[in-house]
Amino acid sequence: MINGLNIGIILFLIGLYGVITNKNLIKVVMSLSILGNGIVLFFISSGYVKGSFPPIINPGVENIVDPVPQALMLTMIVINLCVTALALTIIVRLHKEFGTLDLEEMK
Amino acid sequence: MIEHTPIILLVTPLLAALIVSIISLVSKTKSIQKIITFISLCLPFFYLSILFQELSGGVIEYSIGGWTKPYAITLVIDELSFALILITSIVTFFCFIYSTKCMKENSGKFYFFFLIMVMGLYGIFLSGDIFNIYVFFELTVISSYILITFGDERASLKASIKYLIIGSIASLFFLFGVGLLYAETGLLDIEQLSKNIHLIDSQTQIIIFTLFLGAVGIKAAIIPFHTWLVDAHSTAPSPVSAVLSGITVKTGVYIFIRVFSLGFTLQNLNEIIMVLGAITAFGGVIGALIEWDIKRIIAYHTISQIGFIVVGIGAFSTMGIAGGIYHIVNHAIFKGLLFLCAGSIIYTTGTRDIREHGIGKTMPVTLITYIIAVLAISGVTPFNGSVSKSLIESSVLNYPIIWLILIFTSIGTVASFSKILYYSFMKVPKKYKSQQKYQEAPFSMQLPMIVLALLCILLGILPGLWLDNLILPATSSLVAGNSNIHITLIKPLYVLKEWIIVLFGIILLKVIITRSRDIDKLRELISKFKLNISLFLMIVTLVIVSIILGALN
Repeated sequence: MINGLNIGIILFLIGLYGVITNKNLIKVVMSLSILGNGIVLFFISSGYVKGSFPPIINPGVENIVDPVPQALMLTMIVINLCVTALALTIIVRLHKEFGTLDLEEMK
Repeated sequence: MIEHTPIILLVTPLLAALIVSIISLVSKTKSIQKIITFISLCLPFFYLSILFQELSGGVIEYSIGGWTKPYAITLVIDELSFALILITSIVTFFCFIYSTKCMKENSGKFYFFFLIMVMGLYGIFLSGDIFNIYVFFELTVISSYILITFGDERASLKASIKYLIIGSIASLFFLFGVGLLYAETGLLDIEQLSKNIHLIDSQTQIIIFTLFLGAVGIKAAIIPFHTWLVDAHSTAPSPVSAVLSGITVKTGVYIFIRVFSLGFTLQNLNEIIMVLGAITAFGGVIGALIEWDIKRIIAYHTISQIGFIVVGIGAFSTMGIAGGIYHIVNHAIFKGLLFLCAGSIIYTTGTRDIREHGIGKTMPVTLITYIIAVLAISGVTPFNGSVSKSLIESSVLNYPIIWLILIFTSIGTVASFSKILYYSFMKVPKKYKSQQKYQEAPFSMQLPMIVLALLCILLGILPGLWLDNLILPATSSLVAGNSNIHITLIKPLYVLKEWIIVLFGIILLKVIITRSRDIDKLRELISKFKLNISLFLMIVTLVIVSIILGALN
């Protein structure tokens, strides 16, 4: 079954795998983004109904897509962006201090 | 005006943070920033006194923007959240007073992020819907990632990125759990979720519970999800460590109580949680016994005491939950005090290795407040830890193995804290034999320590003050059943048990001092656990828990 929910879960697992296996901190942050995107896809598709309309109130439109997950995901994307920006900032500082991007080599 | 108090409580620190940041851009005088922060941390006590009067008429609900119930974002204040907001206000206020002397540079930036963190903490305890908990939690942790980097330069950067990676995974796990709940029920409100959760089939419930366990386990540092905590809490500046250990970790436990009391209809959940709690309690103490760094020892004890709280919650009886919540409050006070004492010691001596301190009797206030905190954390009557610990221990009397583990943990607690007492205060290293004179820390650092020490004694002598007014009503709304616990202050048998524990603890300390070489080997072994391996272990644990739950249901 290829639908948004399943692909979201698969992206989540790919991201998790990436976080565990990568040593390079930049790649870890990229994996975290993939993990987050999987969740976005999962949420959006959980509110999606095939053949329905956007949630804009017009007279005569009855079956609409659930707008709550979309609103939630806008919030979540902003937060994730903030975390990613902070992570990259700290990594730049770390690279200046230690000269490496591998957490294990930082003594 | 009065009905808007919940949102004003939330907005006050946010507004103060904005003003502080603008002022720090314009002028270089630090006193204005300090005064604004001081006022914004004082005001919550005033709001809370209003809220306490309103609370007697039932749970307070506030819809932001005045929308009707199912569409609005709600702020809910019941007894549980009120108790935690009150303790947050107390601890953050005194940590701020302490930090005015301790943090010399960067004050504008420091107070900005400190206030944002306080606002996030209030938000977690106030919000009545499960997605907003995620939003406020992210606010809290993002500001705490930054606050950690104000500490000891190189190590704190490393600790911060480690905390960031693990913390982000926790938040995304939580969000995934919320997504599954929403996909199944179409609800986000905690109160309505608890009415509808039994409609979900048990397979999905297991997945949701496992995801929440992963999220909450990382946030509350339950073993094996704890690896970020010790580095983060030990390298942060001391007042920040006190807030992180006292309050921020407790938000994980708070979410755990909320999620757990949604009423999952799964079998044997309580036992699994209690086993995890017991492992956490014991493992934290083992970690503390093998360390020489004063802040790492105290940070390991945060893990151990979280274990106690989780055991109490896992028992899910009136006694267990009341003990758990009361231990959250008590732990915030004495762990805050311990970190502030450690901060004073480091401020004076300039080193974190307890073998090089050799303070002697030159810092009497620190010595006395430290001893009070140690007696409180070890659970000796009449200090506050004894009440909550005895409640938790009596709630697991049906499970003798877990009870025994908790007793052994208490012995280890006594041993590791008397290790600090022995090395830092009593033993004078050979190279300091000429006796250099240390001085007591400045008065603005002493004052918070003295007040918190007095609170330790007050909450131990008058346990009814919190238990009867806030915690037992909170418990009765979570667990069905009678909430008549009579706390008698001095039970001879308990007091005897406590002093036997202290005696065994001192014997254990003697053993540790004589075998310190083997302990160093053990510490090297533990330090080999890298980030990747610990993340892998977390995932494996979650899979195992879900398999066990699947087999039992």
